[in-house]
Amino acid sequence: MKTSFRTKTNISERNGKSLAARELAVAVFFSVLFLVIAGRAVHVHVFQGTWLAEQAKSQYNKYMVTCGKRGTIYDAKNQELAVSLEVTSLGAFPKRMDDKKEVANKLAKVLGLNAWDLRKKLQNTTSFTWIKRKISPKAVAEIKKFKLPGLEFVGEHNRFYPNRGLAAHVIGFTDTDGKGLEGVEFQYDQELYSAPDKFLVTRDARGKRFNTSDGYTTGFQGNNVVLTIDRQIQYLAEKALNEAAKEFQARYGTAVVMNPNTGAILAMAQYPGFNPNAFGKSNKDLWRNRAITDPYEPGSTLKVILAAAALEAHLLTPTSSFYCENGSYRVGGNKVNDTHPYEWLTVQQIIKYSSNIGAVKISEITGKTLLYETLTDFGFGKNTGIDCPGETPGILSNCKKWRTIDTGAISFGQGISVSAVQLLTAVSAIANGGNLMKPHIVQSVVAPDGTLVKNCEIQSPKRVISAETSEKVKEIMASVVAEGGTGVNAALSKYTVCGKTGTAQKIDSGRYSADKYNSSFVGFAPKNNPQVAVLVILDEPKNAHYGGTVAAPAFKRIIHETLNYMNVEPENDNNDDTILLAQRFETKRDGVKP
Amino acid sequence: MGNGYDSVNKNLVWVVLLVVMTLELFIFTWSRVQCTTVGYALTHQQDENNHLVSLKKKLIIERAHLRAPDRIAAIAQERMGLNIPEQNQILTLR
Repeated sequence: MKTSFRTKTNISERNGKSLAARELAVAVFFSVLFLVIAGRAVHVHVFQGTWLAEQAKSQYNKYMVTCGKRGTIYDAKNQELAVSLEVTSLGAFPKRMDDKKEVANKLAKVLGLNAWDLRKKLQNTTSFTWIKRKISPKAVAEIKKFKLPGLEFVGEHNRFYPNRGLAAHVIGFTDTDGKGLEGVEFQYDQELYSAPDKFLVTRDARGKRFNTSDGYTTGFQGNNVVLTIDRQIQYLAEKALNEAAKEFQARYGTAVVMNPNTGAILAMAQYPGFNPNAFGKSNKDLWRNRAITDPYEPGSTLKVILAAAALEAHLLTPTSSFYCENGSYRVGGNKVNDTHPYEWLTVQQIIKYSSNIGAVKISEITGKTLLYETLTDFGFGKNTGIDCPGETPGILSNCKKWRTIDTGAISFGQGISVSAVQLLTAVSAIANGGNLMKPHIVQSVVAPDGTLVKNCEIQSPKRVISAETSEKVKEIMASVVAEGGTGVNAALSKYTVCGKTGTAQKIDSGRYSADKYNSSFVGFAPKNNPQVAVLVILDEPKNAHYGGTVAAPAFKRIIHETLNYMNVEPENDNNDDTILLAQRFETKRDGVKP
Repeated sequence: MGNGYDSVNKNLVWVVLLVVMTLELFIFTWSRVQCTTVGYALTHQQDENNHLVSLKKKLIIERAHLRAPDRIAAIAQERMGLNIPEQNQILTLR
């Protein structure tokens, strides 16, 4: 019993020691473990904390780059002429694709591409490649259904012109990347363009966006450009020009409508036109704005400037008479002819009947220096500074180089080239009392929030003739449109129109052609308070070629419809066409039928 | 007796602390969950807003397209038989 007690005590002691040792071991083990964890925690938090935080951020937060939206182009009444639409482009990362053949076949079918070419493209590219830019929403939906790996849908903007071909030459167009190529799109590219920008997108562990917008539609955009062009007047001008050009089978046609008091272009039409939404399908030759870029010989329309030169210098009066040689006159070895033979004509009649010989005789009085200086003052031979690309200064050589025939020819608008906008600006100076305005097509540049960035309307006019001379030339121009004048087809019954016809022979193989003409008509109305100045030019019309026959009717239509649209009060209203509202109400009240 | 009272008080303090801590834990968790929910709701609303803004832009473009003068003129002429009035068809109201 004693032995067994001792044995039990020994065992118990041994067990107690072993337990204490085990407890110690466990305590040490956990202490070491805790120390390791604590050490690691300190290491992670103190030494690697910043780096790890950045790593985590980069996994959840990503900067996405999106191209900015190009600004809108508005007309004078804030109607959209050019806008940007949100579209989707399809790109691919071929490395991430398992079966390129299958991807190529499926995409080619939906996008109307060649499957073989697409497959080759995917096989030959390792990094990112575009499959097709700016695809339809329907195609996007179909492709998304395939759930193909390695495809990237990228949001972009596409330029759209809601009025199709209306003012296409003025507005221009952009390339696929939204860069302006022609017209206002080119000239004001910097203002309209919006550089790509990046925005932060936070995603959760499942890739779902969290507390962030996709930043695409709410994004930023370039400035908006407001034109002086009025969509309605542009339409009226284009319609009248197209019909005249088709009637006379002209090669080209141009019509420009200007506010003579400000130099603002209200319409700038061209025939034939093109659709800027599909500009690639039209001939490149049709893209340029001929009213700005192409010089042409103005013909007799320039005689009004000659008259202004002579009257301003007080060398002549509108009633000064010249002998017009019965239709044929020799100038420096060359013969100048009139369409109809005339004997004695006053300055006013010379312009009214458009006598070339009379014009030569006036230029003999003014001399070449005064004529040259007046032409230069009116802006010929240099750029007008209009805010459109590719402006031509025209051709006006220095008068020191002029021979006698050159002075004579320039007096009736041959041997000099001008642009349509130059001529209309000069005639507008006559209309507004003698101030040469700078023509302009952009009214203002406005930020997306509506604040004014740039006002393009403030111009300082240059006085080129006195108000008195302006009145005299206006009288002369009004006689052109009166009974017996060459421009009678431009007359309006309710407004006094001032105008001048032009018929210029074109140069063909170095000589003046006998059957190729530029027919034009320039003028303004109403005479006493000009609101609109219009120039119509038709290039190489068939069947008829006189400006008074070919261009004057189109001019008349444009100016009549424009004045009507602008609600300009008639000058020559007879009482039958006027209803006095007060009288009408009075009559009604008295019970008498009006 | 006094020791027993102290012991009860001590236990009560611990219980209260435990309840407060637990409540705090729940409130904290609830607020985090709320934050996340509101975050997703914001994203959804922003997307909705973007969609509506985009739709508005499309409608403005559509309106501009429908108001194109050549389209209006064609409708006026073909469907209604209207024309731009000639000079003798215009009466002035004074």
